[in-house]
Amino acid sequence: MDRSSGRKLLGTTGMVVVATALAACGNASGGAGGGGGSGGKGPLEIAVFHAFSGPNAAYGPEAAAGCYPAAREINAAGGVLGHKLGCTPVDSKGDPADAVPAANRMIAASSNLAGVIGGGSNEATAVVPLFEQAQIPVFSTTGQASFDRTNDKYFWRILSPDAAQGSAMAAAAKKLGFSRAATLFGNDVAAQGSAPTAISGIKRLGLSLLASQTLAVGQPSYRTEAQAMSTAKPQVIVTEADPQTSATYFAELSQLGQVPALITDPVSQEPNWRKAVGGAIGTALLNKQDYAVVAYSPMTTPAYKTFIAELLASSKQVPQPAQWEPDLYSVADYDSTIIMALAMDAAHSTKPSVYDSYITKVTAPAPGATMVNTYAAGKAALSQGKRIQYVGAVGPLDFNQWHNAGNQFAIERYSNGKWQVSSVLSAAEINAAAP
Amino acid sequence: MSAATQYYIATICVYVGVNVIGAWGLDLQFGVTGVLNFAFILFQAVGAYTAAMLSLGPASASGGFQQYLFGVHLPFPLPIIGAMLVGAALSAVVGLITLRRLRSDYQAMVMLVVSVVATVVAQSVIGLVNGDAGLSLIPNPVMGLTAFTRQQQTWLFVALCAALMVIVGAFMYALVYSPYGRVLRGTRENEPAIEAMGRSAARARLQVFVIGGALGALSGALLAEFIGAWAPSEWLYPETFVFFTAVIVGGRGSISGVALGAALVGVGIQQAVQYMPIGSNPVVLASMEWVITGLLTMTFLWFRPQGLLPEQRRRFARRREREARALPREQAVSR
Amino acid sequence: MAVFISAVGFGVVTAAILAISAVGFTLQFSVTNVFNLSFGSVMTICGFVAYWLNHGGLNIWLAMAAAAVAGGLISLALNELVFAPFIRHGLNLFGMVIITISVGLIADHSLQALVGPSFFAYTARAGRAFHFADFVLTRQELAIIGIALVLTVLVQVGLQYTRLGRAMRGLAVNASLARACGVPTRRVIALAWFVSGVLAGVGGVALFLDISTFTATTGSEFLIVIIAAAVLGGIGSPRGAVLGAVVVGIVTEVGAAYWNPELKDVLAFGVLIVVLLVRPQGLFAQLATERALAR
Repeated sequence: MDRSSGRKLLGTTGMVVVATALAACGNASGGAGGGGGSGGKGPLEIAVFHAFSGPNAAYGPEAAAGCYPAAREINAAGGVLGHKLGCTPVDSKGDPADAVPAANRMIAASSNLAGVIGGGSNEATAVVPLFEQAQIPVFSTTGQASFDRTNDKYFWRILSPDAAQGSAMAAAAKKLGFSRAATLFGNDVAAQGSAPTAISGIKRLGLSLLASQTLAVGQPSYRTEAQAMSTAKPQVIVTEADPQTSATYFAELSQLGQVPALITDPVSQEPNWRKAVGGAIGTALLNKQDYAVVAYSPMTTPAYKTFIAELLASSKQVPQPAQWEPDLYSVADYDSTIIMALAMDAAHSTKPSVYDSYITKVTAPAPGATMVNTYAAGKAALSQGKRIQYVGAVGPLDFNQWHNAGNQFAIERYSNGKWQVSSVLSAAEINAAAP
Repeated sequence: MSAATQYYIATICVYVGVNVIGAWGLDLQFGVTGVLNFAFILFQAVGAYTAAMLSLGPASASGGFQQYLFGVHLPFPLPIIGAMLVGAALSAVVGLITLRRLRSDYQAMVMLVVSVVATVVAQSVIGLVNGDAGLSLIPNPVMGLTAFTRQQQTWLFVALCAALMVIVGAFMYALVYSPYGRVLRGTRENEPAIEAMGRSAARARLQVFVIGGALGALSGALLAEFIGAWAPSEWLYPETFVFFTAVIVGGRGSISGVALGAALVGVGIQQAVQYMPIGSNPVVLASMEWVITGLLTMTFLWFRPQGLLPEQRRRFARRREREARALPREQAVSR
Repeated sequence: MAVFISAVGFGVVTAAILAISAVGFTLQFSVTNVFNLSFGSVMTICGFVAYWLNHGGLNIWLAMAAAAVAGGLISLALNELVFAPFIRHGLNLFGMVIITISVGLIADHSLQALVGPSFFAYTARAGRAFHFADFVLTRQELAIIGIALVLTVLVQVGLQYTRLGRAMRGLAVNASLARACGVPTRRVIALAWFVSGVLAGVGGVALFLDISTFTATTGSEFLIVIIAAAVLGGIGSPRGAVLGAVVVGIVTEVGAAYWNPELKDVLAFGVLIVVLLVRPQGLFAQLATERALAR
């Protein structure tokens, strides 16, 4: 390498350093970062860290539809320790390589970051360690098995993992009296989590598995697969796939034969899915055939009613709010936000590393604890020095040593314009299907 | 400077380093030798997956929640070296199949198809690299150095990336300005002349395909170890185009130019879009990144095809260029 | 046997949609010598034009016709405003492919910023189902097959027997010679872009009808398959494009029936790669061999 090349290399390095600085500039000005400021009365931020763009762009608005109503309720009751609470959407783009810098920038730039709702299945394993390291509690709805026994102190999961969901779907097939079943899952990460236990559960429970199909996501045609399913003539199809794949498949299935009963999971309650598949086979048929197996949240609890009221009043931040009413993930994120606020009240501190250990203290059942269903009630009880148990819209939450709170499951049907619980699956029924 | 800010800057530094190394790999293939490798992102992915599998250990360990082809737990720097070797080997295979005596943009189409095929296979054959969920909990080599704090470990990784960048940069200079480099540029400019001199253009193309593939794999290995996860969503076929833009904007064939282009395009656009006055709708922001990338490419190809820091041409080549520009346009097109 | 027959039947439906687009794609290549990778984006935009018209009350087939015209105009504009200037500017083949990719990315993501990441569907009934031996085709699918047949035959007849068609073929083979013979190059090129744009429009709407739910990126995702079909048949040859489409369509569905349905596209691409290894110009080498496709 001659001298001019050597100088050029030095010049290159210099230029790259400058470019790096340019790229990073403006963000480094974040002050305290990493820990929520407990001084001053500035607003606290709950970050909604999800995919707002890319193939899973529906997850972001879904999560925001849980955070904003909670923030509204919290602020109406006087905020948290004198601070107002706000929701900040942060786009993870749905893949780990983009999520990591986005998370790092968010942590660095926000001086009032109090907690995180987020980490979908695509990026959770990459970003949860970052929040753990920054000591910020993160409530995630990812179903991945790697979090079933996590040692992370700041990770919290209030919905059952995908594996349990799959077993519940199998148990539902048995409970509903079907004997000939088939499974149909997309090959994306969200669907692949529940497929193995659904399939093994069906076999374990003694039903005959006539067909087990995996669909490559987003194809223009699944006619051959639909034909094979139609020939197999199952009584019920246990399925999870994204809206587009599901709509294409079921449209073709209904043309080739009949759409049998369907056992679905919370994805089928999302507005996109409902609209797409309803448009493909007809809303009436869909509602007739669909049995949604979801975490059991008695729709009649006060917390759920509060959620709906706050949701509908948040139409400024959440466009078309009514579409998120049945969406379990929005409901879960609503509960998560309330829990974080109550934990801060109980800990008398908005510092994330401090209030994290109070999360169990406001949710675990304990003798003499006052059961509360709203933020205002919880805050009032705490100010009187009582111990509380927040039972939210998702139901009672008992976090185990791995910060997982399992749920009961229920079978829901859509009739008369809303979802109604038709039966509840007991733990025994689900365990019979589980590996 | 707070810890969080440090991590953010460290992340940017690592991403710049990774992008620069990768862009140099593509520059060797496309910038210097004129191979339109539209499957470049595949080699970054291969490097990432290989480094992951060579450091994760067997699939059944740690809960068995992900499946992959094989796993061993090798100490640093073996996973990275292994990744480069596998990247080189795969490049050789792909190159032998696709670098036939076909017109270059025809080759490009075939490579595009190969990239898509690879994505479909990775997503569908779960046992290969855990399908769409990808591999996670990839250990970072510096995490084992318990003598240092977490912050110091992160900066160590940055230092590692920087060191590798300097080494690869030196290697690029040595290669490109050597007689072999002249053969490569000859392959790009005037293949019959190269053949007439008794060197094989086809062999040269295959060779840079392999070397460039190894560099791409190196960048993938570093990125995967830093992020700790790697999934198909990170290597969809349009990602190759980001590298192409970096090479074009920076300056085809120019090592310092490509480095600058990689820093600006790979990392800069993403960060810059956050500050543009187009509101904060995330879908619009994400779309803008791609729109800007496309516009940048088109603008540079029109106004400054040689890039920001053009390749240093030897005096004779510069004279030839001036003469060529004086020729009527048509002859220039029908090359 | 029943499985095979119905797979072939389904393959014909896929082939019909592919054929329309592949012929358009290959036509663009034949007059410009450039792989236009923004073709999928034009298909998507036309699909959305039809969507807006359809949801405004227009019957889907009329909307398809309108989208076809839109496609022709958009492609014409793209050539006049972007591609031709770059070619005149002296850009070589690599550069042109990259330009088309850039245009595609800009178009796709601008559209996505406009319509958002949601899912869309036409209001169009699938119609009666007709049972043929072992497979079922709906009225809509039959209509698409019919449209594909008519269009591809029209294109072939046009190229073979009309003056403009012959001019196009001449231009495709040897541009300077054609010009020397008095062929009005610019007009012929413009017509070629318009026609291929019309095909893109029809192909886009047909694709969206087939897939029943679509997004702003559906067309571009399909582009790879279109390229595979066109290249397989021999790029530059409309007849080849139809053949390629049929091969890809049938291989895909038969592969799905007998092998792993998730990998049905891989099978089609594998066939493509094998064919290219053996016969780099593709199956129908007519126009293709006269181009310098091999070094």
